[in-house]
Amino acid sequence: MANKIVVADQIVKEFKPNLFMGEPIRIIDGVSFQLDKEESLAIIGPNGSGKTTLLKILATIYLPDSGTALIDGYDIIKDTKEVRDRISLVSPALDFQKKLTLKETLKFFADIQDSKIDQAFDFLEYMGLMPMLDLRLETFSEGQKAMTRLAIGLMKKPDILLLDEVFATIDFRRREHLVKYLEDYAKGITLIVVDHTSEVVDRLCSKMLLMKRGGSTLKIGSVEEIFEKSPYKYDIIAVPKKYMPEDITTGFGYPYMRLGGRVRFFVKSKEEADDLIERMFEWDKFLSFEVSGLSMDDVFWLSMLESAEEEQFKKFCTVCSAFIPKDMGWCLQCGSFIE
Amino acid sequence: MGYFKTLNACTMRYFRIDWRYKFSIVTDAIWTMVTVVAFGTLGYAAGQGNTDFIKYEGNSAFIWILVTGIFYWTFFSRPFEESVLAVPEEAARGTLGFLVTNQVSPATMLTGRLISSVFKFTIIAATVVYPVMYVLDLKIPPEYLLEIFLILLISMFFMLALVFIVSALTLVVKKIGVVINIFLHSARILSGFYFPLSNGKDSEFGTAAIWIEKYLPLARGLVMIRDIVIPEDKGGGISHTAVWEGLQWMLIGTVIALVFAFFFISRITDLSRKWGTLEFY
Repeated sequence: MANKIVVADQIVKEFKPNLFMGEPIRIIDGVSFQLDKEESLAIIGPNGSGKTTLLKILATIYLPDSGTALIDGYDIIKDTKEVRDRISLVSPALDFQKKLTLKETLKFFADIQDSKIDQAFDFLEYMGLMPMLDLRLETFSEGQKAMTRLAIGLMKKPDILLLDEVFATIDFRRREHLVKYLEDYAKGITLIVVDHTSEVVDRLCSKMLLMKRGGSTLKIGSVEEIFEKSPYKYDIIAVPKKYMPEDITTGFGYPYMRLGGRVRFFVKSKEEADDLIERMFEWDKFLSFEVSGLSMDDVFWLSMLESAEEEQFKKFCTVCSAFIPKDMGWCLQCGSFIE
Repeated sequence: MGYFKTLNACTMRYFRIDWRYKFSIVTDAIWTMVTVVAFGTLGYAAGQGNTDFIKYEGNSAFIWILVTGIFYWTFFSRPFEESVLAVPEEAARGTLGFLVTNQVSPATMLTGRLISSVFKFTIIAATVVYPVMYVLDLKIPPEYLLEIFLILLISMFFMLALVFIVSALTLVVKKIGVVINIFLHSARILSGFYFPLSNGKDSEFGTAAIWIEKYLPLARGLVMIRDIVIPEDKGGGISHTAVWEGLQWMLIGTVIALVFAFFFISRITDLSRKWGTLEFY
């Protein structure tokens, strides 16, 4: 336990729709996990699975109804001061006084965090935002506001940095830049990240917590472990020239799911990928196809199959009775084609 | 027909919304009651030609009583409103939770907001209201400057206690605008803003009126300010000794109110973290 920077134990959180009446709704249902120092965690799950609420509990904004968590040995319920000294939460909900300049805003947050504004300047310099120091925040784009939030969070130099979907409004070029910065920055600290972006989770996190709707844990483990446990290693996204009929799609002989007009196939090895690509060339009605390793979304999606609680996974395999996504034509359990 | 259908849908929607905020319906009723008491009493007094109720000790003009009250309340009315609205504003901006995680309690934030607001309105009172008082022959004698400063300072801390209490409510109950007005209006009535409380000493509420005027810091403060600025031959006049004695009572009342209010807001902050209402607005 000595090396653990975060120990969450059976955290439960419920909110009542009305303070004085109505049944409480369970948002987090007995979530537990542990993190060693310098380990980083990605929290992944669908909307309504309690990811942000969990971050806010760790950040001492909300009190859990039962269970607790230790941050660097300090209890989030009893030792809030010590916990708050060690954490920093960067949330997309944080907005600013639009009439203040970037510098004035940073100065205010530096004062309340008892940190130095210079520590934010390093980050702003790196992200190219220094020329905007004297501009009012009302002129900032959403991406620039996201950078400002991060600058504020990093300025505190916390032991644990809690990031809630901070990459969502940042453009692709800056995202890469930012991930690189955080890779270096995170070496001495612990990150807990709510994000679905594969490159963010793959590169910044060593552990994953998959949450289900209703706030319970679907799976927890190291990113490598969860990837390794998945029998599928690659996905091939094909864009057909026109709608690909079911008999053609199933005829390729690999599990697939439809994504609008596109079809995503899952294969277990490079050999299977080569085989599928060759047969798609033979069919010759594709505009393009793209091969990639399984992403975090894929792993989450495949993991959801095991839970079988989501509305979208209501279809059953007629051979082995396993749950299957309704838009998938192949049973991942026994390999049978499903009409 | 389409228009009426839309109109009906909108009306029903707002009706349902209003009905869901039952606490707001109660506060609307209380606000109406407070307004009736304040202006009803004034109207009754004026209608009956009963100037006894609205005159000051001696024979000063009613406008002097009102203008002095306006001067006193300029320091606190808008600062109170601005401070109490700070919590919902910060919640809407998403900064409330962030401030809390950085050791900034709602009490600290509100104190900062009130000080900043009082400073702004001190300038406004000095430049807008005081010249009117001067024209009406209501002057602050230089030898009472320190006492006036202390009266306003202690009154500000008493208002801070009220700010804590109302803001604590905003952490758990939403749509609180009317509650702000109820507190403000009630505080004005009890301070003797509309009519001096001592004028009701012969009424059935006489004992309560005298007690409030003596021990409620806002009432004591306003009475002392009036006695200082209204000329002695017009019903004003107060000795330094009496002012210092009054300041002691104001201080005691304010400390009691602040201690209660601080514990109240601290407890409600914890509850709002438990109930998850801290960041709602």
